[in-house]
Amino acid sequence: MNKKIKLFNEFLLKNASANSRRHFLKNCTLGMGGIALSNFLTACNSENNLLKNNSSLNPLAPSSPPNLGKVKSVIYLHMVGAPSQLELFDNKPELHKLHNKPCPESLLKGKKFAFIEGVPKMLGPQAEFKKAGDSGNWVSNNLPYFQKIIDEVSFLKAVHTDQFNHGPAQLFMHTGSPRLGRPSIGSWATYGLGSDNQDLPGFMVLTSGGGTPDGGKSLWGSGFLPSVYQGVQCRSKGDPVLYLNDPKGISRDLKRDLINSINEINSDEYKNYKDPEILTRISQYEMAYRMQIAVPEVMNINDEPDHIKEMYGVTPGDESFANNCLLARKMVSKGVRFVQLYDWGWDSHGDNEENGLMHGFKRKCQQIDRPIAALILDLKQRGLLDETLVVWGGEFGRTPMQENRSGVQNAYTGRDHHGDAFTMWMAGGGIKKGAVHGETDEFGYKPVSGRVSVHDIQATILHLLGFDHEKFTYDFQGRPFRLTDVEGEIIREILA
Amino acid sequence: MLDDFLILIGRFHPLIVHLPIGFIVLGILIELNKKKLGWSNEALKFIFFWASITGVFSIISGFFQYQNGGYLWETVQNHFIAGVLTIILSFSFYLKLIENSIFKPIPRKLFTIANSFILIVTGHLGGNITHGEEHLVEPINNLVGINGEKTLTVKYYEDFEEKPLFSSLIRPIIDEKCVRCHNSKKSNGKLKMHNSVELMKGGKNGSIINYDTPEMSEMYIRIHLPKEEKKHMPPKSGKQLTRQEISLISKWIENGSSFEKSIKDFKLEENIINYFFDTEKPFFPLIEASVPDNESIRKIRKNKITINPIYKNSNFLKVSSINNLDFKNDDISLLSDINENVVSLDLSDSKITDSIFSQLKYFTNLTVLKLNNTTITGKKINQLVELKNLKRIYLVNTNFKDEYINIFTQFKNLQKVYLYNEKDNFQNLDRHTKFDNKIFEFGYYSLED
Ligand code: HEC
Repeated sequence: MNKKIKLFNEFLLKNASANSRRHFLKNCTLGMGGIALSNFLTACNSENNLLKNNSSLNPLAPSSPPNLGKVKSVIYLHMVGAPSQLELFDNKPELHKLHNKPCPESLLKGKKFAFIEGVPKMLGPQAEFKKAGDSGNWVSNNLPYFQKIIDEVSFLKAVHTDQFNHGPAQLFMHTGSPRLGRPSIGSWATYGLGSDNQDLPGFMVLTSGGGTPDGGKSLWGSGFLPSVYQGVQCRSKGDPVLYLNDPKGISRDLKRDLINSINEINSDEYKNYKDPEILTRISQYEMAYRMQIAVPEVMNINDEPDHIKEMYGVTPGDESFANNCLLARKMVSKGVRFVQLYDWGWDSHGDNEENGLMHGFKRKCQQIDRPIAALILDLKQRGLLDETLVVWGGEFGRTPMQENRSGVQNAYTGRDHHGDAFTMWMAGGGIKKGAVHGETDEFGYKPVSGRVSVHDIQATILHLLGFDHEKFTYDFQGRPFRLTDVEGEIIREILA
Repeated sequence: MLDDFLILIGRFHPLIVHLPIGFIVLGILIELNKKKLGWSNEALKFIFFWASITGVFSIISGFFQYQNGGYLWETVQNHFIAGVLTIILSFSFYLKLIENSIFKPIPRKLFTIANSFILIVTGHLGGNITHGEEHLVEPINNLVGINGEKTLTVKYYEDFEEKPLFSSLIRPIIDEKCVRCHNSKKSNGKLKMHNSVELMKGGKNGSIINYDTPEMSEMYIRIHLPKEEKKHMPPKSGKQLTRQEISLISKWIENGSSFEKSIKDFKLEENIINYFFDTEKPFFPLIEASVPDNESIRKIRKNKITINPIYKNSNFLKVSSINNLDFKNDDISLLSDINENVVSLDLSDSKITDSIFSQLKYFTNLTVLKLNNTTITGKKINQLVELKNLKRIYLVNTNFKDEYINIFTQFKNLQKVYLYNEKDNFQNLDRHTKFDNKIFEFGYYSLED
């Protein structure tokens, strides 16, 4: 009780001091000087103009990147659980020959795995590979539709991460740090560029597959950035955004009046304290009001033409990856900056049927194959692929060894977590068509060339949006922070 | 052992020098206020005595720093002389204070002035050595708004093919990443790289280029060592070479480290060329547009039209009606003052009609035009033929008529026109044979064979 009173008193004191004569003398004299100085300085600077200093109070007002970017939007397809590169894109015929043989000592020395213990057996590719498209790049028979868009894609075959558990690895992939507290890449993008469509959030998140990522909502959190930049999760089943609808008996006009009054009070508060979170609050009220109409519209796929619904393979009313891909296209064409899709269920250990490479994994492949091909083609025919970046990947890859949990062979075929080398791909604006960068050894275990890091991928995404990842910073706790921390190099090999 | 100890003392030089500085500043302040302070003389004797003692230590430590820090005598010479003068002055003043007869005739004021002056000079010369000669000029320039930064110029590969690789690419890399530690003032490893003559002389282990087995060149080896390795260059703390810069320098050494050979002769790989050069002419026009004035921008924004430069410092603008779907033909007049600045215009989903084209023809730099989801039929789109920069036109889900499609062939620089229609308007058209599919995108893709 005592504590609460203390806290309340502190609040009163703060409030009083903000309005007192002393406050005026203490803070405003400096402030006045500052105002005078800033006028004086800007007067000297003929370059000053409205377009360069975005003085808008709206934190989501669209603004320009420092460099000419190649894309306006990003659609990031994350396969939660880490899909096996060895059954999808990384063709390793040599691995066949070692199938069921004990893993060579050299691969195990000094290594730590999530589940593998002792000496596991090698596991040959559980899929057939073929060269597809004009580029002749490899793809497995798990992805028959992917062959049709393979020439649009640049592969990264030697991505590495230093995390081997899902949560931290996902955080690392999306926030640049395996620990909590950093803003996600979508938040950085909206922080830097705002939202083109003022009726929709700049950063939207859709999930499918029946589970949420291990990393939790922090994967689309805004970290230390103002919370207005966090991702807004939408559901493709039921109300798209929870708690968005008005309660019974409240009309839209009444709601408008209410929001106007609240925002007025909040703006006064902002003038006093200059706390960016107040701006966040104002724009969230505004956004929620406009979203009540705009979001159900963009989330409705019933009105799409039949040939489009068929192409994606959607089932309206369901929560499916196919629906989400179509929604992603709709969002991007409505000016949403960053659309993040999470599809759960790729953790193919083989400890149960769902997780088996010959069972659940194949079903997962079917669920994503057609929608991804449809997404790329649909973006292409609408001219959106030139200005959208599509990224596909998991949080890491999988071992060429068969998993033997606690030293015993698993019931189904499966592979353990593996971060040394795995495959991701990118397609769209600024990306080379049909390129491959990076190569792994004959088992798909270690990178041989073209090794790229998680930070390299982030640097590349920011580059395509028009940012120099080394200069794109936010000051927090006394020092500037970057998405890529102190690392990261743009992967120029896959840039057009 | 002793060497290391001396190096350690040398490293403390920047710390130790602040002792005499402190004493002298304090002394000068007391001297200036001596009328107010009754006790000044005794204190001043004490202060200037210690200023001299600590000053001597400073000079000794500075000498070790010079010997082991890779500095050249020419660089430190003036700082050294000034430092010695500082000590001499302090000690002379001390002698005057204790009433030494030689210094009696010299007025005290002169000492104060000289002491202040020499202190500033010594300090500044020292700063020049550690922070570089520009260390004061640069922030001052920034303060008053002089921008010393080189403006980024577009480099086309074709313009450069014939120029020497060394001067156009290698030299700038060395200047940026190596010269800081390898120059005439500071030559770590006794190596100087600020000009070609010095570069060829090599460092303490002789030439850093080995013409017989280029891969054994000291320079080659060091840039390839892992970053953690002590001998890796640039040292871990410095700004690192990028992958492409390492490949380029390697290529230069492998091919005989020639200063004259042209870029073309090196047959660089495509990804290296792309890294250092622009191979394509830029997408947006290459001319300077005037700065759009604030009043029109304010007016346009008031009408809920989104308007922003294509990147922060560009005068070219992208304009969109995405937040004002009631945008009508007449509203385009809002943009009349900034016609030439608009390079990208998006009027998708708005209420415009075919008569918009008679207005759009004044947007001389227009490069991207989006009119998706409108009732455009294409009538009078021929008015846009004059727009020399128009490269992409988006007409997805419009009422565009077959008969106007051929007009696009008259557009000079058109790269792409998007005509996809969800209602499949052009089914009767021989879409895929009659039109260049590189330019015309009719879409309507299917995943079935
Ligand atoms: C932060 C300072 C620093 C930078 C930047 C730096 N060097 Fe050095 N360099 C040193 C030091 C200190 C030594 C001497 C110690 C040693 O041999 O490792 C040295 C020594 C060398 C030597 C050996 C000279 C000899 O004969 O023993 C070579 C070659 C060299 N550097 C090349 C480079 C190149 C090439 C670059 C730029 C890519 C570079 N350095 C950038 C500090 C630097």
